[in-house]
Amino acid sequence: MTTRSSLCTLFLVPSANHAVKGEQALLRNGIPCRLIPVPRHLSSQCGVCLEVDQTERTRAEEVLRAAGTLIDGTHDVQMPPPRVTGATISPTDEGARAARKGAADDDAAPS
Amino acid sequence: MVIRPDLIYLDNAATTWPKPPQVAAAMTAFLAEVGANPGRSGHRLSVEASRVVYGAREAVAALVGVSDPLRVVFCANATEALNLALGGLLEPGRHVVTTSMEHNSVMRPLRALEAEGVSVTVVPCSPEGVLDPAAVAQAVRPETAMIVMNHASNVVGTLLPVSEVSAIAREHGVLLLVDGAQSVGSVPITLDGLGADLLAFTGHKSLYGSTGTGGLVIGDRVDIDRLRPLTRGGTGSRSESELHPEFLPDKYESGTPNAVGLAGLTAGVRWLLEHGVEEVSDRERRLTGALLAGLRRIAGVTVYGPLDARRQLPTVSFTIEGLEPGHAGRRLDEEFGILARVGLHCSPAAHRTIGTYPVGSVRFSLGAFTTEQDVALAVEAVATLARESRE
Repeated sequence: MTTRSSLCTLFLVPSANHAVKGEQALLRNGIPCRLIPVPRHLSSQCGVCLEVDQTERTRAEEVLRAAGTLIDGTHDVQMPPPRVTGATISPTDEGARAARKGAADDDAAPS
Repeated sequence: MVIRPDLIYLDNAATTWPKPPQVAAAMTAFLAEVGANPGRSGHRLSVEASRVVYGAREAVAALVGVSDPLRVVFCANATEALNLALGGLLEPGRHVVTTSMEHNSVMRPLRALEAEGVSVTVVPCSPEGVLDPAAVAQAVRPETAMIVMNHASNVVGTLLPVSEVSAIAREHGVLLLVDGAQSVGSVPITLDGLGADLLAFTGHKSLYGSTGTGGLVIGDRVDIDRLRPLTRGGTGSRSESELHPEFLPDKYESGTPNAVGLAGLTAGVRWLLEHGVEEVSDRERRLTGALLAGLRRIAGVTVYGPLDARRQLPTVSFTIEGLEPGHAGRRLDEEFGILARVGLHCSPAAHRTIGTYPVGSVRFSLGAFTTEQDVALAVEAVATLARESRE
């Protein structure tokens, strides 16, 4: 993902609910993604957006729309590689496990 | 699973207890390891908290057969969900049909709406709590906007014919709101199977989560542009706007949600799905049959409801001749360690229907952890009280 290419696509979504829903849909379809804070220059929203590798933009958009995730905006941006990857896991949440697995897979990928 | 060997807990219709150990573990883990506010920040713990909340939506959606988890709106309890649906959709000049077996979580908001100009028809049920769908059809008028009914009585457990009423609602183009506080998780149901447009549920009864959780499942036929929210405020979304968001579920979820409770709810639902709703329900039905048979054999005891475990939830109401229910409840607790709920169960209409108003009844309600021995000891205790009250 961002370790392979610094050019990313950010999908702005209206809420954390849609962000998590979109994250699950992307991971289910084998598209690595991250939930990151919305960059201030793109929106004044205080929540998170979905980040995917720019090469996955078209496929990711199709997956998100098919999943019913509302998309407020789509932006291709240069992003620095993440300094810390992967979220800590909630033992109660399959989504978090899936997200962690996706992040771990991504970490293992050659940069 | 025995937590307190000195007690027999038969108040599962009020809240199930004990809970599967996974529930407390999930709640503890959330508080200890996550703890952040879901949807309010971009940092990893907030994101993780959002995943926990979404996981609860997924669990409930899977249980009730809804494909889009965002159509599960969380509330503090079933009462709040019912208030949201009733207050959000009914306007002065419109009409609503309900039944005489409703809990005050339906009756009180309806009476308040009635004072504002909504007309209310209460369709009487039989003394067993049985509803005739034809009577519902007769009550529908051109201005009827909604039929609201419980799926199962919290007093006598009677299962109401929701599917039949759904057909009537569809035929007349009115919405059907189902109070599933007692039934969701207790019997296998889906939103489509019931034919409900809106389904209120609670998390702390047959879903085995903690108190403070519940919600409203919103079906496709409901126009959310017409469903007004109960509250407006911070949602963590569209923060740049002073106008409340119009999309699901944020429109109906203002303020910080009960994320720790929802972590527990997820664990409870998963526990239930792992054990199988049908399997848990079958076991409870067998125990209910034994309880009904045992109580009905006792001289001086009157049992209410359908008296048929196949037609009711594991909730059984009875009275003991010569012994006021409050006194019976105290003696069951103090002398036998049996915990029951007595009185009117927040359902005066239901007690009028079955003929126990205003004194009420003693209610035994079973759960997934009730044992055959619990039932046998409870029957024996009631037999002792009945015998002593006749002496």
